[in-house]
Amino acid sequence: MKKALLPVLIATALPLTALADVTVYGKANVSLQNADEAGDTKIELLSNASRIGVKGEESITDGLKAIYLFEYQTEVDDGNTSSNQTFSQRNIYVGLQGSAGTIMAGNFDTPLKVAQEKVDLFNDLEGDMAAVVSGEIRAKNIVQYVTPKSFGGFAAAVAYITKEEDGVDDGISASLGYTAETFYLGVAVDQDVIGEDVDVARAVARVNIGPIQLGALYEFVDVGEEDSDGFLASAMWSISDAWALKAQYGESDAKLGAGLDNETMSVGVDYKLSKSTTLYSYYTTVENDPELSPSLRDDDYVGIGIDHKF
Amino acid sequence: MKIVIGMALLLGLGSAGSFAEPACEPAVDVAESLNVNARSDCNYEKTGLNRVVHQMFKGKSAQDDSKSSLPADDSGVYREASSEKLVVQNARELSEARFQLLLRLGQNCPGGFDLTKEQYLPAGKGLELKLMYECIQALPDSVADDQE
Repeated sequence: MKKALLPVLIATALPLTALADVTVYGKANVSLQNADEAGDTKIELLSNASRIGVKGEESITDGLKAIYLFEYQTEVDDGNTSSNQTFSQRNIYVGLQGSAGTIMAGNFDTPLKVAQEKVDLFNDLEGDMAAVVSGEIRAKNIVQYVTPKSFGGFAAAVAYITKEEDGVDDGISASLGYTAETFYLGVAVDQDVIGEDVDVARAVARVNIGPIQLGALYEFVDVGEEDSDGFLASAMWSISDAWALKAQYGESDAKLGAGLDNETMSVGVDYKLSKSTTLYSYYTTVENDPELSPSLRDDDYVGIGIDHKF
Repeated sequence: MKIVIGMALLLGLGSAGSFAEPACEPAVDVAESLNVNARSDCNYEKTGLNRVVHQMFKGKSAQDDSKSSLPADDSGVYREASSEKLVVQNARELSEARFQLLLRLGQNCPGGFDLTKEQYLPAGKGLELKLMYECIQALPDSVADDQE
Protein backbone atom coordinates (compact mmCIF):
# COMPACT_ATOMS: atom_id res chain seq x y z
CA MET A 1 0.00 0.00 0.00
CA LYS A 2 1.37 3.39 -0.86
CA LYS A 3 2.00 5.50 2.23
CA ALA A 4 0.10 8.41 0.70
CA LEU A 5 -3.04 6.27 0.46
CA LEU A 6 -3.05 5.34 4.11
CA PRO A 7 -4.18 8.70 5.49
CA VAL A 8 -6.87 8.81 2.83
CA LEU A 9 -8.24 5.45 3.95
CA ILE A 10 -8.06 6.44 7.59
CA ALA A 11 -9.62 9.79 6.90
CA THR A 12 -12.53 8.37 4.96
CA ALA A 13 -13.17 5.82 7.71
CA LEU A 14 -13.63 8.46 10.38
CA PRO A 15 -16.58 10.79 10.94
CA LEU A 16 -15.77 14.44 10.33
CA THR A 17 -16.91 15.54 13.78
CA ALA A 18 -14.60 13.06 15.47
CA LEU A 19 -11.45 14.07 13.65
CA ALA A 20 -10.36 16.71 16.14
CA ASP A 21 -9.84 14.01 18.78
CA VAL A 22 -8.27 11.39 16.51
CA THR A 23 -4.55 10.75 16.52
CA VAL A 24 -2.86 8.70 13.85
CA TYR A 25 0.53 7.55 15.03
CA GLY A 26 3.20 4.93 14.54
CA LYS A 27 6.86 4.14 14.42
CA ALA A 28 9.37 2.38 12.23
CA ASN A 29 12.17 0.64 14.12
CA VAL A 30 14.70 -1.29 12.07
CA SER A 31 18.07 -2.71 13.07
CA LEU A 32 20.89 -4.50 11.34
CA GLN A 33 22.56 -6.98 13.64
CA ASN A 34 25.15 -9.69 13.74
CA ALA A 35 23.64 -12.66 15.54
CA ASP A 36 25.82 -15.36 17.03
CA GLU A 37 23.36 -18.00 18.13
CA ALA A 38 24.96 -21.15 19.53
CA GLY A 39 27.93 -20.78 17.23
CA ASP A 40 25.95 -20.02 14.06
CA THR A 41 26.62 -16.51 12.85
CA LYS A 42 24.45 -14.47 10.53
CA ILE A 43 23.64 -10.88 9.59
CA GLU A 44 19.98 -9.98 10.07
CA LEU A 45 17.80 -7.01 9.20
CA LEU A 46 15.04 -6.81 11.79
CA SER A 47 11.85 -4.84 12.20
CA ASN A 48 11.39 -4.27 15.91
CA ALA A 49 7.66 -3.91 16.59
CA SER A 50 7.17 -1.27 13.88
CA ARG A 51 3.55 -0.24 13.96
CA ILE A 52 0.77 2.09 12.94
CA GLY A 53 -2.28 2.99 14.96
CA VAL A 54 -5.29 5.19 15.39
CA LYS A 55 -6.59 6.34 18.76
CA GLY A 56 -9.19 8.82 19.76
CA GLU A 57 -12.12 9.85 21.84
CA GLU A 58 -15.58 11.23 21.25
CA SER A 59 -17.77 13.01 23.78
CA ILE A 60 -21.10 11.30 24.43
CA THR A 61 -22.51 13.45 27.21
CA ASP A 62 -21.05 16.02 29.56
CA GLY A 63 -18.43 14.07 31.47
CA LEU A 64 -18.69 10.83 29.51
CA LYS A 65 -16.79 9.92 26.39
CA ALA A 66 -16.02 6.92 24.23
CA ILE A 67 -12.36 6.07 23.76
CA TYR A 68 -10.75 3.69 21.30
CA LEU A 69 -7.41 2.51 19.99
CA PHE A 70 -6.55 0.25 17.06
CA GLU A 71 -2.90 -0.61 16.54
CA TYR A 72 -1.25 -2.92 14.02
CA GLN A 73 2.28 -4.18 13.62
CA THR A 74 3.99 -4.32 10.27
CA GLU A 75 7.32 -5.84 9.34
CA VAL A 76 9.46 -3.16 7.77
CA ASP A 77 12.26 -5.61 6.97
CA ASP A 78 10.50 -8.21 4.85
CA GLY A 79 6.92 -7.01 4.58
CA ASN A 80 5.12 -9.98 6.05
CA THR A 81 4.37 -11.20 9.55
CA SER A 82 4.96 -14.82 10.53
CA SER A 83 1.41 -15.56 9.41
CA ASN A 84 2.16 -14.04 6.00
CA GLN A 85 0.01 -10.97 6.60
CA THR A 86 0.96 -7.33 6.06
CA PHE A 87 -0.43 -6.31 9.45
CA SER A 88 -0.84 -8.15 12.73
CA GLN A 89 -2.98 -7.02 15.64
CA ARG A 90 -1.43 -5.28 18.63
CA ASN A 91 -3.32 -3.39 21.35
CA ILE A 92 -6.96 -2.83 20.45
CA TYR A 93 -9.72 -1.55 22.68
CA VAL A 94 -12.90 0.43 22.96
CA GLY A 95 -14.24 1.86 26.21
CA LEU A 96 -16.08 4.49 28.16
CA GLN A 97 -14.39 7.12 30.29
CA GLY A 98 -16.03 9.29 32.92
CA SER A 99 -15.37 10.87 36.29
CA ALA A 100 -15.55 7.43 37.95
CA GLY A 101 -12.81 6.00 35.77
CA THR A 102 -12.46 4.05 32.54
CA ILE A 103 -13.89 0.71 31.52
CA MET A 104 -12.43 -0.79 28.37
CA ALA A 105 -12.51 -4.09 26.52
CA GLY A 106 -10.52 -5.70 23.74
CA ASN A 107 -7.15 -7.29 23.13
CA PHE A 108 -4.37 -5.49 24.97
CA ASP A 109 -1.48 -5.70 27.41
CA THR A 110 -2.38 -6.83 30.93
CA PRO A 111 -1.93 -4.40 33.85
CA LEU A 112 1.01 -6.55 35.02
CA LYS A 113 2.80 -6.11 31.71
CA VAL A 114 2.09 -2.37 31.56
CA ALA A 115 3.40 -1.98 35.13
CA GLN A 116 6.96 -2.33 33.78
CA GLU A 117 6.65 1.33 32.69
CA LYS A 118 10.00 2.51 31.20
CA VAL A 119 12.30 0.15 33.08
CA ASP A 120 13.11 -2.06 30.06
CA LEU A 121 15.63 0.03 28.10
CA PHE A 122 16.00 -2.57 25.33
CA ASN A 123 12.29 -3.10 24.74
CA ASP A 124 11.47 -4.88 21.45
CA LEU A 125 15.16 -5.67 20.81
CA GLU A 126 17.07 -8.87 21.53
CA GLY A 127 17.71 -7.54 25.02
CA ASP A 128 13.98 -7.23 25.76
CA MET A 129 13.33 -8.30 29.33
CA ALA A 130 10.83 -10.84 28.02
CA ALA A 131 13.90 -13.05 27.51
CA VAL A 132 14.12 -13.57 31.26
CA VAL A 133 10.75 -12.72 32.86
CA SER A 134 7.25 -14.10 32.55
CA GLY A 135 4.00 -12.20 32.44
CA GLU A 136 4.61 -10.21 29.27
CA ILE A 137 1.11 -10.99 28.06
CA ARG A 138 -1.11 -9.23 25.52
CA ALA A 139 -4.40 -10.79 26.51
CA LYS A 140 -7.34 -11.60 24.29
CA ASN A 141 -10.87 -11.09 25.61
CA ILE A 142 -9.84 -8.70 28.36
CA VAL A 143 -12.09 -6.24 30.22
CA GLN A 144 -10.36 -3.63 32.37
CA TYR A 145 -11.22 -0.87 34.83
CA VAL A 146 -8.79 2.01 35.39
CA THR A 147 -9.10 4.60 38.16
CA PRO A 148 -9.76 8.20 37.10
CA LYS A 149 -7.22 10.96 36.62
CA SER A 150 -8.48 12.67 39.77
CA PHE A 151 -6.42 10.20 41.81
CA GLY A 152 -3.38 12.34 41.01
CA GLY A 153 -0.19 10.33 40.68
CA PHE A 154 -1.89 7.11 41.70
CA ALA A 155 -3.32 4.78 39.08
CA ALA A 156 -4.83 1.36 39.59
CA ALA A 157 -6.11 -1.10 37.01
CA VAL A 158 -8.00 -4.36 37.38
CA ALA A 159 -8.59 -6.64 34.41
CA TYR A 160 -10.65 -9.76 33.88
CA ILE A 161 -9.56 -12.11 31.11
CA THR A 162 -12.07 -14.70 30.02
CA LYS A 163 -10.69 -17.89 28.53
CA GLU A 164 -14.06 -18.48 26.86
CA GLU A 165 -13.89 -22.12 27.87
CA ASP A 166 -16.02 -24.10 30.30
CA GLY A 167 -14.08 -25.52 33.24
CA VAL A 168 -11.03 -23.34 32.68
CA ASP A 169 -10.24 -20.66 35.27
CA ASP A 170 -10.42 -17.15 33.90
CA GLY A 171 -7.55 -14.76 34.56
CA ILE A 172 -7.26 -11.67 36.75
CA SER A 173 -4.56 -9.04 36.42
CA ALA A 174 -4.23 -5.96 38.64
CA SER A 175 -1.74 -3.17 39.19
CA LEU A 176 -1.20 -0.16 41.41
CA GLY A 177 1.29 2.53 40.54
CA TYR A 178 2.41 5.95 41.65
CA THR A 179 4.10 8.37 39.26
CA ALA A 180 5.90 11.46 40.54
CA GLU A 181 8.10 13.97 38.81
CA THR A 182 11.27 11.99 39.37
CA PHE A 183 10.19 8.47 40.19
CA TYR A 184 7.70 5.70 39.58
CA LEU A 185 6.70 2.80 41.83
CA GLY A 186 4.40 -0.02 40.88
CA VAL A 187 3.15 -3.40 42.00
CA ALA A 188 1.11 -5.86 39.97
CA VAL A 189 -0.25 -9.39 40.17
CA ASP A 190 -1.56 -11.93 37.67
CA GLN A 191 -3.70 -14.91 38.62
CA ASP A 192 -4.39 -17.67 36.07
CA VAL A 193 -3.45 -15.35 33.18
CA ILE A 194 -0.51 -17.31 31.76
CA GLY A 195 -2.29 -20.55 32.61
CA GLU A 196 -4.29 -22.21 35.34
CA ASP A 197 -2.56 -22.18 38.75
CA VAL A 198 0.13 -19.83 37.46
CA ASP A 199 0.37 -16.67 39.55
CA VAL A 200 2.82 -13.82 38.98
CA ALA A 201 3.68 -10.85 41.21
CA ARG A 202 5.83 -7.96 40.07
CA ALA A 203 7.33 -4.88 41.75
CA VAL A 204 8.85 -2.07 39.70
CA ALA A 205 10.75 1.10 40.57
CA ARG A 206 12.26 3.86 38.46
CA VAL A 207 14.04 6.96 39.66
CA ASN A 208 15.52 9.85 37.72
CA ILE A 209 18.43 11.68 39.32
CA GLY A 210 19.47 14.48 37.01
CA PRO A 211 20.67 12.87 33.78
CA ILE A 212 20.66 9.37 35.31
CA GLN A 213 17.69 7.01 35.15
CA LEU A 214 17.79 3.87 37.28
CA GLY A 215 15.23 1.10 37.05
CA ALA A 216 14.57 -2.18 38.82
CA LEU A 217 12.01 -4.93 38.48
CA TYR A 218 11.47 -7.98 40.68
CA GLU A 219 9.15 -10.81 39.70
CA PHE A 220 7.86 -13.79 41.63
CA VAL A 221 6.17 -16.69 39.85
CA ASP A 222 4.16 -19.42 41.57
CA VAL A 223 3.34 -22.47 39.46
CA GLY A 224 1.47 -24.96 41.59
CA GLU A 225 3.98 -26.11 44.21
CA GLU A 226 6.96 -24.57 42.43
CA ASP A 227 8.19 -21.03 43.10
CA SER A 228 10.65 -19.06 41.02
CA ASP A 229 11.74 -15.47 40.74
CA GLY A 230 13.84 -13.07 38.74
CA PHE A 231 14.97 -9.48 38.50
CA LEU A 232 16.01 -6.83 36.05
CA ALA A 233 18.16 -3.77 36.69
CA SER A 234 18.71 -0.97 34.19
CA ALA A 235 20.55 2.34 34.02
CA MET A 236 20.62 5.13 31.47
CA TRP A 237 22.87 8.16 31.45
CA SER A 238 21.76 11.02 29.21
CA ILE A 239 25.13 12.59 28.52
CA SER A 240 23.54 15.39 26.53
CA ASP A 241 20.24 16.10 24.77
CA ALA A 242 21.43 13.84 21.95
CA TRP A 243 23.59 11.10 23.49
CA ALA A 244 22.59 8.45 26.01
CA LEU A 245 24.39 5.39 27.37
CA LYS A 246 22.32 2.40 28.50
CA ALA A 247 22.99 -0.83 30.37
CA GLN A 248 20.70 -3.58 31.57
CA TYR A 249 21.05 -6.92 33.34
CA GLY A 250 18.39 -9.51 34.07
CA GLU A 251 18.47 -12.91 35.73
CA SER A 252 15.66 -15.31 36.44
CA ASP A 253 14.59 -18.89 36.87
CA ALA A 254 11.01 -17.85 36.23
CA LYS A 255 11.18 -18.15 32.47
CA LEU A 256 12.53 -21.66 32.13
CA GLY A 257 11.25 -23.08 35.44
CA ALA A 258 12.63 -26.18 37.15
CA GLY A 259 15.28 -24.07 38.88
CA LEU A 260 17.08 -23.35 35.61
CA ASP A 261 18.63 -19.90 35.40
CA ASN A 262 18.42 -17.60 32.44
CA GLU A 263 20.25 -14.31 32.13
CA THR A 264 20.57 -11.39 29.74
CA MET A 265 22.93 -8.43 29.64
CA SER A 266 22.85 -5.48 27.26
CA VAL A 267 24.74 -2.27 26.74
CA GLY A 268 23.88 0.39 24.19
CA VAL A 269 24.34 3.92 22.92
CA ASP A 270 21.51 6.13 21.63
CA TYR A 271 21.96 9.21 19.47
CA LYS A 272 18.88 11.36 19.08
CA LEU A 273 18.82 13.05 15.67
CA SER A 274 15.57 14.85 16.47
CA LYS A 275 12.59 14.56 18.80
CA SER A 276 11.20 11.79 16.60
CA THR A 277 14.29 10.02 15.21
CA THR A 278 16.94 8.12 17.14
CA LEU A 279 19.94 6.12 15.98
CA TYR A 280 21.00 3.35 18.34
CA SER A 281 23.54 0.58 18.78
CA TYR A 282 23.67 -2.32 21.20
CA TYR A 283 25.41 -5.45 22.36
CA THR A 284 23.30 -8.16 24.00
CA THR A 285 24.09 -11.56 25.37
CA VAL A 286 21.47 -14.11 26.44
CA GLU A 287 22.51 -17.26 28.25
CA ASN A 288 20.64 -20.23 29.64
CA ASP A 289 21.67 -22.41 32.54
CA PRO A 290 24.64 -24.64 31.64
CA GLU A 291 22.54 -27.66 32.62
CA LEU A 292 20.50 -27.03 29.48
CA SER A 293 21.72 -27.87 26.05
CA PRO A 294 23.95 -24.96 25.00
CA SER A 295 22.15 -24.90 21.67
CA LEU A 296 18.99 -23.70 23.41
CA ARG A 297 20.31 -20.23 24.17
CA ASP A 298 23.89 -19.02 24.32
CA ASP A 299 23.63 -16.04 22.06
CA ASP A 300 25.40 -12.77 21.36
CA TYR A 301 24.07 -9.89 19.30
CA VAL A 302 25.66 -6.68 18.04
CA GLY A 303 23.51 -4.25 16.13
CA ILE A 304 22.78 -0.74 14.95
CA GLY A 305 19.34 0.66 14.21
CA ILE A 306 17.01 3.55 13.66
CA ASP A 307 13.79 4.37 15.46
CA HIS A 308 11.49 6.93 13.83
CA LYS A 309 8.25 7.91 15.52
CA PHE A 310 5.57 9.63 13.48
CA MET B 1 2.36 -10.84 50.06
CA LYS B 2 5.39 -9.27 51.78
CA ILE B 3 6.26 -7.62 48.50
CA VAL B 4 2.80 -6.12 48.16
CA ILE B 5 2.82 -4.77 51.74
CA GLY B 6 6.30 -3.36 51.27
CA MET B 7 5.39 -1.63 48.05
CA ALA B 8 2.19 -0.30 49.60
CA LEU B 9 4.32 1.33 52.32
CA LEU B 10 6.61 2.77 49.69
CA LEU B 11 3.63 4.11 47.82
CA GLY B 12 2.43 5.72 51.02
CA LEU B 13 5.78 7.46 51.36
CA GLY B 14 5.73 8.30 47.68
CA SER B 15 2.48 10.17 48.01
CA ALA B 16 4.40 12.82 49.89
CA GLY B 17 6.35 13.55 46.71
CA SER B 18 5.14 16.05 44.19
CA PHE B 19 2.98 14.85 41.34
CA ALA B 20 3.61 16.58 38.07
CA GLU B 21 2.08 15.94 34.69
CA PRO B 22 4.73 14.57 32.36
CA ALA B 23 5.77 16.42 29.24
CA CYS B 24 4.02 15.54 25.98
CA GLU B 25 5.54 12.28 24.78
CA PRO B 26 5.29 11.01 21.21
CA ALA B 27 1.79 9.66 20.54
CA VAL B 28 3.15 6.17 19.89
CA ASP B 29 4.71 6.06 23.36
CA VAL B 30 1.52 7.28 25.01
CA ALA B 31 -0.40 4.56 23.16
CA GLU B 32 2.08 1.88 24.24
CA SER B 33 1.77 2.91 27.89
CA LEU B 34 -2.00 2.25 27.66
CA ASN B 35 -2.36 5.26 29.94
CA VAL B 36 -5.98 6.26 29.36
CA ASN B 37 -5.45 9.15 31.79
CA ALA B 38 -2.58 10.67 29.83
CA ARG B 39 -2.72 14.44 29.61
CA SER B 40 -5.30 15.47 27.03
CA ASP B 41 -3.84 18.80 26.06
CA CYS B 42 -1.00 17.44 23.95
CA ASN B 43 -1.48 18.55 20.39
CA TYR B 44 -0.45 15.98 17.79
CA GLU B 45 -2.25 17.65 14.89
CA LYS B 46 1.00 18.96 13.47
CA THR B 47 3.16 15.86 13.73
CA GLY B 48 3.92 13.08 11.28
CA LEU B 49 1.20 11.14 9.56
CA ASN B 50 -1.38 12.66 11.86
CA ARG B 51 -0.63 16.06 10.38
CA VAL B 52 -1.33 14.79 6.88
CA VAL B 53 -4.67 13.27 7.92
CA HIS B 54 -5.82 16.42 9.70
CA GLN B 55 -4.84 18.64 6.83
CA MET B 56 -6.68 16.44 4.35
CA PHE B 57 -9.82 16.91 6.40
CA LYS B 58 -9.31 20.62 6.34
CA GLY B 59 -9.40 20.38 2.55
CA LYS B 60 -5.81 21.12 1.77
CA SER B 61 -2.69 19.10 1.32
CA ALA B 62 0.30 19.25 3.63
CA GLN B 63 2.28 20.87 0.87
CA ASP B 64 -0.29 23.59 0.36
CA ASP B 65 -0.45 24.24 4.06
CA SER B 66 3.26 24.61 4.45
CA LYS B 67 3.12 27.28 1.77
CA SER B 68 0.18 29.01 3.40
CA SER B 69 2.20 29.40 6.56
CA LEU B 70 4.60 31.62 4.71
CA PRO B 71 4.03 35.35 4.88
CA ALA B 72 1.26 36.99 2.95
CA ASP B 73 2.66 40.31 4.00
CA ASP B 74 6.01 41.76 3.15
CA SER B 75 7.09 42.42 6.72
CA GLY B 76 9.83 39.79 6.68
CA VAL B 77 8.04 37.41 9.09
CA TYR B 78 5.99 34.30 8.55
CA ARG B 79 3.19 33.11 10.78
CA GLU B 80 1.85 29.65 11.57
CA ALA B 81 -1.42 29.28 13.43
CA SER B 82 -1.62 26.78 16.29
CA SER B 83 -3.20 26.27 19.70
CA GLU B 84 -2.54 24.95 23.18
CA LYS B 85 -5.08 24.06 25.84
CA LEU B 86 -5.41 23.13 29.52
CA VAL B 87 -8.34 22.15 31.71
CA VAL B 88 -8.87 24.08 34.96
CA GLN B 89 -11.16 23.23 37.84
CA ASN B 90 -11.25 26.47 39.83
CA ALA B 91 -10.34 30.16 39.77
CA ARG B 92 -7.02 29.58 41.49
CA GLU B 93 -5.90 27.22 38.75
CA LEU B 94 -7.01 29.58 36.00
CA SER B 95 -4.28 32.20 36.26
CA GLU B 96 -1.66 29.53 36.82
CA ALA B 97 -2.88 27.56 33.80
CA ARG B 98 -2.90 30.68 31.63
CA PHE B 99 0.65 31.48 32.66
CA GLN B 100 1.77 27.90 31.97
CA LEU B 101 0.16 28.04 28.53
CA LEU B 102 1.85 31.35 27.74
CA LEU B 103 5.19 29.88 28.80
CA ARG B 104 4.53 26.92 26.51
CA LEU B 105 3.76 29.24 23.61
CA GLY B 106 7.02 31.01 24.32
CA GLN B 107 8.85 27.70 24.07
CA ASN B 108 7.06 26.87 20.82
CA CYS B 109 7.84 30.30 19.37
CA PRO B 110 11.39 31.41 20.17
CA GLY B 111 10.77 34.59 18.15
CA GLY B 112 7.63 35.51 20.08
CA PHE B 113 3.95 35.06 19.31
CA ASP B 114 0.63 36.81 18.81
CA LEU B 115 -2.43 35.56 20.70
CA THR B 116 -5.13 35.34 18.06
CA LYS B 117 -7.97 33.94 20.16
CA GLU B 118 -8.71 32.91 23.73
CA GLN B 119 -11.48 30.34 24.24
CA TYR B 120 -13.17 28.89 27.33
CA LEU B 121 -15.05 25.64 26.78
CA PRO B 122 -17.05 23.55 29.28
CA ALA B 123 -15.08 20.50 30.48
CA GLY B 124 -16.92 18.51 33.13
CA LYS B 125 -17.10 20.67 36.24
CA GLY B 126 -14.27 22.85 34.99
CA LEU B 127 -13.28 24.82 31.94
CA GLU B 128 -10.94 24.12 29.08
CA LEU B 129 -8.77 27.14 28.39
CA LYS B 130 -7.58 27.21 24.80
CA LEU B 131 -5.15 29.76 23.44
CA MET B 132 -4.73 30.11 19.71
CA TYR B 133 -1.59 31.82 18.54
CA GLU B 134 0.75 32.58 15.69
CA CYS B 135 4.49 32.40 15.97
CA ILE B 136 6.47 35.42 14.95
CA GLN B 137 9.62 34.22 13.31
CA ALA B 138 12.19 35.76 11.06
CA LEU B 139 11.81 34.55 7.51
CA PRO B 140 14.50 32.08 6.43
CA ASP B 141 16.85 33.63 3.89
CA SER B 142 16.03 31.06 1.20
CA VAL B 143 12.31 31.75 1.49
CA ALA B 144 12.87 35.46 1.54
CA ASP B 145 14.84 35.16 -1.67
CA ASP B 146 12.01 33.19 -3.31
CA GLN B 147 9.57 35.90 -2.41
CA GLU B 148 11.53 38.67 -3.87
